[in-house]
Order: sequence, then C-alpha cells, then structure tokens
Amino acid sequence: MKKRSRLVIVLLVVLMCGYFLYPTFKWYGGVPESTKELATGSNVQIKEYSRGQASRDLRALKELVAKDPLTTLPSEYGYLKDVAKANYKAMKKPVPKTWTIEALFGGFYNEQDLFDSCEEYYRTELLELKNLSTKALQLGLDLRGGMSILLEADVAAYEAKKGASVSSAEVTAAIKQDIEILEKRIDQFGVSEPVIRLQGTDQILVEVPGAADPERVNSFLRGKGSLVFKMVDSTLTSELEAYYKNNPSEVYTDSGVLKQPEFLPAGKIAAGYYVSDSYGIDELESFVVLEEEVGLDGSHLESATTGTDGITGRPVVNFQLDSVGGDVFYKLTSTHVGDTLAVVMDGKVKAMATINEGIRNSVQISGFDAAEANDLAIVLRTAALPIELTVSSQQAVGATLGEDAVNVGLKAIAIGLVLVILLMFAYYSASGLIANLALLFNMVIMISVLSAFNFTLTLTSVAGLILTLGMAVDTNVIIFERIKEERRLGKSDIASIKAGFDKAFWTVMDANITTIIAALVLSQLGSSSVKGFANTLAIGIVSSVFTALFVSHLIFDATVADREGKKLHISWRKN
Amino acid sequence: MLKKDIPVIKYRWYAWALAIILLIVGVGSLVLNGGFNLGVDFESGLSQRIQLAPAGLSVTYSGSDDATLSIAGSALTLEIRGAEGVSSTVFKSSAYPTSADLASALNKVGKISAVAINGSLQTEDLLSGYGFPATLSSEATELNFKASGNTTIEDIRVALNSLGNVKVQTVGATADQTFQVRLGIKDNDTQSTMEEAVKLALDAHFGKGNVVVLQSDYIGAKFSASLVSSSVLAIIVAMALILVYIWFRFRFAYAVSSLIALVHDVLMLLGVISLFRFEFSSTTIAALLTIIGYSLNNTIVIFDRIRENVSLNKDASLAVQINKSVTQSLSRTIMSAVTTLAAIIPLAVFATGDIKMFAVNMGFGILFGTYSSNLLAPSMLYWISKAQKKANVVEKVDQAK
Repeated sequence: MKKRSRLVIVLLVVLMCGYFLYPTFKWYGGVPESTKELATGSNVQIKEYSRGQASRDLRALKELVAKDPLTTLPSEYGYLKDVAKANYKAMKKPVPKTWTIEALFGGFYNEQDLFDSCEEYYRTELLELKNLSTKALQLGLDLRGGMSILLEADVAAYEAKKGASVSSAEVTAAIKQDIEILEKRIDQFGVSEPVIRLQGTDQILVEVPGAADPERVNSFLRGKGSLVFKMVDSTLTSELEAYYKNNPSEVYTDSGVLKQPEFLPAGKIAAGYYVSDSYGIDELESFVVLEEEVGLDGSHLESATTGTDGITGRPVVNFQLDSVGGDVFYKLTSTHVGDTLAVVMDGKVKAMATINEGIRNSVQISGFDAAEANDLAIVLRTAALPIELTVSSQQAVGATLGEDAVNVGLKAIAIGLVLVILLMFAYYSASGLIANLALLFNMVIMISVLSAFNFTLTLTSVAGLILTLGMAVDTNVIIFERIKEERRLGKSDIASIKAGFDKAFWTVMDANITTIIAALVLSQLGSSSVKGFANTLAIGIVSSVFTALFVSHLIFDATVADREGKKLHISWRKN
Repeated sequence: MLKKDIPVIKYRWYAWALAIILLIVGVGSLVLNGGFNLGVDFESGLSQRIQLAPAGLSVTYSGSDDATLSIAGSALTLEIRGAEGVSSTVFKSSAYPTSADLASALNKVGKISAVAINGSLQTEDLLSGYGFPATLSSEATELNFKASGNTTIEDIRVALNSLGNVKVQTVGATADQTFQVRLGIKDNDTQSTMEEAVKLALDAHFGKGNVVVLQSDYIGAKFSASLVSSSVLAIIVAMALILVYIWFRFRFAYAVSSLIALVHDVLMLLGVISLFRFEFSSTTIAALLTIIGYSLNNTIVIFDRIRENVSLNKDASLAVQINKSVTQSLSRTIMSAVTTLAAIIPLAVFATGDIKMFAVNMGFGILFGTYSSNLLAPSMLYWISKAQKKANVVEKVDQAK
C-alpha cells in the first residue's frame, strides 16, 4: 500500500474517532451532575421540569413588570430576546434598542405565548442533552448501580386461565403485550428510564439504572396501574378552562405539576386530559374537573379489546368487568345518563365518554381514531398483564459498589497501561515508544467504537479493555522482532523495516483471526455479561491490527525510512 | 539471540510427562472435591454480597407523598414528590459531618422524623446498598455507615445456619467486613422469600438493620441450565471454527497439533480451578475462551515460523527446523506473555469478585498457553508428521504464500 493512502486512512480514522468521542467528552466533561440526572429522566419528567421552570420565570417577570416596567431585563431571561426580536419583526414593529421588561413583553402576542417560549427554551435544552446522552458511552448497571431482571412468562398459569394449551407464538404475542403495558407504566416510575425488551420468545429483560429499590421495581412489574373511572363536572370544567386561559402562569407549580385552583370546592379536583402524541409522550389536550370520589376501580376490569362498530365502522374499545364491578358500574352509569365519564390513569385523564344509558359488565366506548382506541385499550389492560411473569434471574448492584468498581477499573487500567508502556520502552527503546503511541491510539479507537455502537461499558468490558492492552502491543512485538532479525542478517534499516512488516503480515493476520473467531463465538453464544467482554475484545483485536499495520508502519516510515542517515532504534543493545 | 537452538524435540517426552502428571493431579482434585465450585450463574440460587455496617439513622415519613432518600458520593438527598411538585434537599457531609447532624437536619423537614441510633457515625461513610434510593414510609428506613468490626466468616455461617446449606466467602480485606453469601433454591422458594429469609436470619444475629446488602443476584433453575448448555456450545463451536481455519491456512497436521495444545490449556486451567476451589462462573468461560485465543495466537506464530523455515530449507530435518523456529520466536513469546501479564496483574490485585477471578484464571492460562505453544504443540506436530510419513503419505512441502 502506498504511504499516502495509508496516511489518508489513518487521518480518516482519527477524524471518525473525534466525531464519535465528542459526545462522550461533552457529557462527562461539561454537564453538571444534577442536569445529567434531569436529562436522563423520562420525557414526562423533562416536560414537568420545563413547565415548572417556565411558570417560575413567567411569574418572576410579571412581578418585575408590575414593580417597574422600565428596569433592564435581567440576564437570566436574556434567552427570550431572540424570540421577542423575531416577533417584533413579524409584527412589523421596530425592534427596541434597549431591552427593558416592558420591551420584552411587547415582543410577545400574549402571556400564553411568552409562557410557551419559556417552556420551549427549557425543553429544547434538556432534550438536546438527552440526545447527547444517548450518543455518549454509558456505564452499565454493574458500574453505576441498578437492577436487571429477567422475567419469564408463566405459561402454565396462562394455560390454566385459557383452559387450553397455547403455542409458543401465542405466548410471544401475549408477552409482547406485557412489554407494551410495562412501557406504559414507565411514567409512574422513578428517575431514569428503564430498558424493557423481549429476549428469546418468552422472556423480558428489564434494566433499571440507578434505582435498585426492589420494592419500586416490584410495584412497577407486578403492581396494577392505578386506573380508575371518575365522573366529570362539566360546569366547573369550562370555568377552569377560562381561568387557566387568563392566567397561564398559574397553571403549574415550579415543579411542573398542575396547580389546584382555589375556587374549586372540596371534593373536586383539576386534572389534565392527555392524548399520546406521535413520540409516545402524553400531550396535554385540555383541563378537566373531576369528582374526587372514585366511580369504579380499575381492578374490576377483566379484559379490554379494540374493535370496529358494526354500523358506523368507527374504532371502538370493548371491555369486560367482573360481576362486582358490573354492579357498581351499572349504579354509576344509570344515575349519570348524559354526563361524561373519564378514564383516569395515574391522575391523568386518558379518555372521556358520554354515558348514553346504564351499562353493566360489557362496555363499549367510541369516539376516537384507531391509534387512540388501541392506546386506550392498552391503558385499560394495564389493570392486568395478559400473561403473568415470574422472575427468572435478577441482579441488583448498589450505587456504592458500582462506584468502587469504576475506581478499581480505572486504577487497573492506569497501572496496566503504565507497566506495558515502560516494558515496551525498556525493551525496544525508541521503537517501543512507537508501539506505545499505537497502543494509546488503540485505546482511543476502542472507546470511540464502543460509543459509536452504543455499547454500555460494563465491568466485563473493562476487563476486555485491559486484556486488549496486553494483546495490542503483541502485534507490534511480532513485527519488531522480525525487523530485528532482518537487521541481524545485515540488511539496512529501511530494508529491514520493509521486510519486517512484509514477513510479519500473515503471521499477524493468522494469529489475530483465530483470536477473533473465539471472541465472535463468545459474543454470539455467551451470556449477557460475557458478551460485553467479547465485543470489547473483538473490537480491540481489529483496532490493534490496524494500529500496528497502519499507524506504527507510518511512524517508522516517517522517522526512519524517509530520512537519510536517520538510525533505527529498536533495542538498547548494539544489535 | 541464543547461540544454540533450544532442543524442544529432544525433551518432548519430559514436556509431555509433566503435562500429563499435572493433568492427573487436576482430575484427581476434581474427583476428590466432588466437582467444581459452581458460581451462582451455573447453580441456581441466591447470591448476595453483604457488608456489616451499623445502622446509624432511622427515618420515618408520615405524609402521603412519595418521599425517597438516595445516597450519592458522601451526600444524602431527600426528594419528596407530591401534588405540589418535587422538592429535593441535599445534605452534604461537609455541612453535616455526623449522623446526629443529619438527624437534626432531617427532623426540620415536615412529616419526616429521624432518630440517630448512633450519632457519632460519619456521613462520608454512608453506604448505599441494594434498596436505595429508598422509599420512606411510616415503617422505619435505616441508613447504614461503614465501620470497622471484627465479624468473621464463622459468625456469618452461624447466623445463617438455620437456612441449611449456605456458602460464605470473605470479600476484600477483613476490615471491609464484606461477605458473599450463597444459598440454593429449595421448593417453592422465590427470590423475594429467599431475600427475606437471609435478611431475617442476619437481623436476628447482628441486630436489626446492621447488615447492608450491596448486591443481590438471583438465578432461576431454568436460566442456569440454559447457561451451561450455551457455554459448552460456545467452546465447541469456537474450537471447531479455529480447527477449520488452521486446516485451511496451514495443513491438517498443524491444525490437529494446535487443537491438542488447546485441549491441554483448557484441561489444565480446569484443573487449577478445581485444585484451588476457584468459583466457576460465566466469566470463567470467558477466561477459557480468551486463553484458547491467546494460546492459539502463540502457537500460530511458532507454526508460521516452522512453515516458513521448512519451505526455505527443504533438506534440514523437521526436528532441527522445529527447534530453530521455537528459538527464533522466543523473544516474541516472552514479550507477549510479559506485557499481557503486566496488564492483567493489576486487575487481579485490585479487583474483586468475578473480575478478579477472571484475571487470576487468565494469569494461569497465559502460563499454560506459553508452555503448550512452545513445547507441546511443536512436538505433537513432529509426531503427527512422522506418523504421516510412515503411512506413506507423501510429505509435500507447503507452498502456501
């Protein structure tokens, strides 16, 4: 291969590493811990937070304008200037030269507009960080603490319930519904977003980072979602809509939770009506005033399915209640004909329907499109999982142990690296430094490939990383020994470098291809913890061959071969 | 550069005799010990890492909101989520150095009451085990603090005696007061009943709340069965693929000799694991496969040299060629083993648990791998080649490359 093309390839790899490593550097270097926590939270939490911040800012601005409209705009609200400027231009009004509070307010159409701009600012900031976090190299549960649970479908119980034997395809279908339901329950769950995915045909892997509180996890996995039916107070609902419209800063508290207005009488509560948007986040549609008293508890739900109305062809949701629930529901619906009934999940209104007549066990609700109907059916089903789950294996690591593991890993890497670097220099003199440079570059490549493929860094992959340290220099060792031998035969420095690289090429390839076979088999067949190790090892082998054949070769060429009279230092001895 | 070649072929009988003796020792220890010391992933059951750490603070919450306590670094964070939103308070060890300070600070928060069980414990010693962030309720949540103690492995065994067959190991230094506890599944046990049973037994012996669970792993019976079969499959598949590759790149005699060397490495490492009662876990499988890769790497470098020397000088006897090749590769063999050991040893020294064992196994594996690639594989190649000649298979010099 030509020297120039080798240089181009090395430079391309350097650029690629920079590109993939940048998010990791930025995430671990520039983001404060508290912001990290917020940004890794669920979308719902991000929304709550931005709404809270926006309410706080809006209230503060209103206080300021009431006190003295001509005060200059404090710098913490400077982010609003750009939006205001754009609005001034859109209104075809001159953009003010000095930004007073009054000038800022003039730049918005109304208070709601100002509130939305504040919210958007905070939301965009956090969503960008969240995006960054998915590109950065993340630590596995064993390094930052957390819980990983492998759940298995209880097929026997499912068959008993169905009264017939079920095929594995049916089990998989049921378990996929379980996953959908568990994902819907994430909202009610702690700080970080758990990972839930299908493993094999009848298992679910749940990984909960950070929080290793078994009680919380159990309530998340087993506990029924808090689903209730409540009656809607339509008079107060329209009053509430009007009130919020006039006072956008009074809708949320600082933490982004709905504020209960004072005019509501006891026994009535304000709640949001949410519809899932295209991202799967609950989007607030409107506000509703509900009776605080529960009309019917969701535990009486037996099943929920979607279907189409035979006459209108519109999607409907059917659900069945048990006999006790049927009695309660009949009493409720027959006394409230003409009123609106709300389906409330974790305090959020998910669906509303007008009651036409008294209904007993079998209920049908209509009035939405197919996607919404499917969504509601899932919400209704969260009252019970289609197929029960049993714990197949569970691993939980407390945060302290995780922190210790990170420290141990870093320490072992540092010491190993220093030892290897010293050894190489001691044995190969200046050429050892070339190998060391290649070794460091190798580490950088490995970490950037790990980030690029979104692998999480676990304790076993750290072990793989450390092992690769030792093995990475090996390729250089094979080549160096060959160069030494060629030189002993009396060849010139330049000729022995060329012969050394050429003759060692197939040795290096054969030796590393066999190792990579072992690593790839391991990454396909090993258990999940072993897979992390195997992936790191495989990446390490490829990148160590690359660094030896390209990077070391290039440096040799640049330092010895291209300079007349420059001597090759590959040993401390004369020969 | 050595003046004379190492007489590998001359001493081949001694090299194999030593290997076979060690192998017999390994098999003997396996029989005497009644099998491997299987890790929790291979033997279904519960494995917990526990630390004895006195409870220094007991916290209750009488409100209806969702109150949680979490520990990060040396700071305690209280978070209350309710209809009015989230309020979060951080108590840093610099401002609240002792558990008594924490208790008085926590008591100032509405509906929280905290009692310092031992007020002199240091905030920076707070332990965040399994169960944190903890949800507070009217039932007391206890916070534990690292402390020195003199509990021995025997005390833990006594405490857990009622649970039947329990295995206990010390983790780290005695001062850490950390132990690994393992027990098998009995009928109708679930992960929560087993965790509960261990907790009750420890509470009864060491006082309520004085033991922190750092890590808790539960492996169901079905999971461990599938792990065994997939691990055995992984090793067989890896060996088969490697055999095919060497056969394709070299010749049959080379492939078989290197494979026999690999079998030696695997058996020797298994012997050591059995002899020293090392735990056999899924990271052991990882170590075994890495050693297969590593030793093969060594063998191939030497075989590559033998092939090259044979094609360069067709007249010399195979024994001389082998001796020469092993000697030529010697400094590379040593450097490779030394650098890999240099990277592995810090891990064996500083790490704990599975990773430490992985590093220790790797260390032994590197020694066995180096032995087999330099002494066993070349002599096996010598024997097979001679046998092939005897069987009138015309020895053709490999012309590859």
